[in-house]
Amino acid sequence: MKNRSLFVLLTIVVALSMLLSACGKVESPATEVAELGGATEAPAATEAPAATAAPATAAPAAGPMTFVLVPKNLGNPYFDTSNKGAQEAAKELGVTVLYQGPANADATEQIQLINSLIAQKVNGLAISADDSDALVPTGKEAMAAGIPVVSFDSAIGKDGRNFHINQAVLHDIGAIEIKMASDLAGPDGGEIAILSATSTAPNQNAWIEVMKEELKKPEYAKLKLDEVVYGDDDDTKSYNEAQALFTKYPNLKVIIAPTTVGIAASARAVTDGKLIGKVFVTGLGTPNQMREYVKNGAAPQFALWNPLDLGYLSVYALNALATGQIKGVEGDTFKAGRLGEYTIKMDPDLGLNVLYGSPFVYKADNIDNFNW
Amino acid sequence: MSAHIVPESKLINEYAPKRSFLSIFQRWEWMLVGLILVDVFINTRLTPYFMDARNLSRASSDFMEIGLMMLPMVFIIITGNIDLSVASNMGMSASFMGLLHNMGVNIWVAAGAALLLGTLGGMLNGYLISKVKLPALVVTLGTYAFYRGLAYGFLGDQAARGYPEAFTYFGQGKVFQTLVPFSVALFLFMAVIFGLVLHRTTFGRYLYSIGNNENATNYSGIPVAKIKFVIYMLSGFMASLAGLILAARFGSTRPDNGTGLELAVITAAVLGGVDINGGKGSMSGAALSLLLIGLMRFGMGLKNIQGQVQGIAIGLLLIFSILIPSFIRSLSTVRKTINWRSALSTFIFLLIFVLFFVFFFWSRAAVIASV
Repeated sequence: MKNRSLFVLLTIVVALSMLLSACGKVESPATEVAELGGATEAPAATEAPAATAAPATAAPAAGPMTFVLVPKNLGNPYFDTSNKGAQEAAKELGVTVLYQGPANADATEQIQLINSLIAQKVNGLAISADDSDALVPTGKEAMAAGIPVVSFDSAIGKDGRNFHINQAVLHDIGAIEIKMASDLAGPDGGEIAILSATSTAPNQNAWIEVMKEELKKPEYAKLKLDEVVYGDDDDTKSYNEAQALFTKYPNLKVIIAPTTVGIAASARAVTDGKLIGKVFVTGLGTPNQMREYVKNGAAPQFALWNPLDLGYLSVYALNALATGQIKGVEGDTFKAGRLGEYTIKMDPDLGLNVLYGSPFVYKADNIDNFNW
Repeated sequence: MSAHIVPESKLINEYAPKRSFLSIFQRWEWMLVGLILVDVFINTRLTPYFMDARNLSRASSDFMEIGLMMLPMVFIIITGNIDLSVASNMGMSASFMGLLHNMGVNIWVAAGAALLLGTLGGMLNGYLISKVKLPALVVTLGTYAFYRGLAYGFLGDQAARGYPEAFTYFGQGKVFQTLVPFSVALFLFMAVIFGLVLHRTTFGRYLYSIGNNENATNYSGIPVAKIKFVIYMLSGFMASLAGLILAARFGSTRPDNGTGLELAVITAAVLGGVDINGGKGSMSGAALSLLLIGLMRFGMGLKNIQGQVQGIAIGLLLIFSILIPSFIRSLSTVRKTINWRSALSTFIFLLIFVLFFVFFFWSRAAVIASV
């Protein structure tokens, strides 16, 4: 009898001690973070970040700020790159930036996470929304609690954030693609073709319209658009369409593919067809997928926004809001370190937003700085 | 045969002195209460933001959809069945309401139609399981995919938004001027009703009876098929109700809303001591386990512990919830001596978990320190 009770007791004690030890272990990194966040009761922690760099702007003496970068999900290299940029800005500003995201790209989880961040009274949230509408009530709650909210990469609905960090506008995306094509075709110009996704994709068609407008400009007079073909964002179909273009237009110089599937398939078709140096591919792609083709010369340059800079800009924006430098209304301007000055603008669809700039051009000399 | 009777009579004798301090742990509910107290104690010590009424109020509504779906799930699991389609049904109903709202239908009519559709979804499950006599796991696995597919069929990649404030009150509002969210009050009200039905009515007793021995129950003249049909119908109704609450909380609907919640629902029920094989469980246990999961997740969130790690902690707790009672049971049933094999395996499990936790957090600390 005694023996048995002893065992039950032992089991329970071990179970509870495990629970305690688990929580205890977490304490060390967590309290470190909490102290940095709690401006009121951490005299020791205040000195730590001050040693790294003098704050760029003379912020009001409110102690070190803690901002949180909330990606759609953790373990996503795209957002890990944003975090790198955010940490760079944090160092320059002398603030702390935490990187906290849901396990899955799911609005329910993200809202739960943001609620716990609001509860900790962090000083600002930069969020890439898993669901632009569902996050509106949560964003409102945060702002009501005095926490500035900006969204980056994927916008929260207008009412749920102070403003959105917009990565690119439609016109700039179309324009940069024609500019890259012109660079690749050389001073003599030549024939170009567009390999799009589906013929019904609204963003693709809008970009193609912009490209056609751009081609009317005198500086692009020597570029001749042969045809627009559709690879349906299917790798095999895009590959075949690219090959068909080679045979149909022997003088073809550049393929523009404003789709990540199409650009990789076209670059592969150029490589396989031993056409490197004769036909160039450009468009919108991602660094990891295109690295090989940038280096072998099939696609020497392509464009997309830069998640690193988006993270960097988000932190500067939060800092400007949290320190009271700006109120987050139309026309406010703030400085964002190496990126220069930004102005908050009003857009009928997007509401208040800050435009990052024109899309970033990835080339052989910068592509190895990116891993996503 | 007679050899078996002898130890059994001993067993009855053994129950008497068990009313010691330790016997309370044989009621899983008390164990949950203890765990909740431990969790509250640790969290209160670790972070000043935990014991904050406003914070707790905000966090609590994150778990109410799970809670609403858990109530009929307790019924279903007690009968030894399962419903994997609840979260999909929830998404389908909410999307249907969103579709009607986008078409300009009055929001209350749309909500009513969504409740009807959800209930119909539950009835389809119930019909296939009780009348056609297909296995519940397979049927609801099928409707799990089917209902989610319908949700996408209704809304595609669109969202429904712009619900009137009178409707979003159900997800975002507080009861009168207090800090209690409406959804929490709704859950508590429903939990009391479901609890009374389970523990105070013959219908509730029949559920246990089906879970213990369905054939015997059937031969006793109890309408097993009808009862199973009713509980699946209830499950469908509650899933759509949860869908409306979620839509109100989000102020919008997307077809992927609530993906994966069915596992959280089942976890909450099983952690509450509802036997996955049927026949055992209580409503108070399930409600307590929901509270425990909510407090644990909120507490870990406050300490910025990643979602994945939170999942590990909940998962381990779930395994303990079935390991410890079965261990204790083995102690009391194995004659006078201890079942050494069971004891050993329990301790090995515990050791593995402790080592795992230590290693995990130790390795994590290094990563965090380097940033």
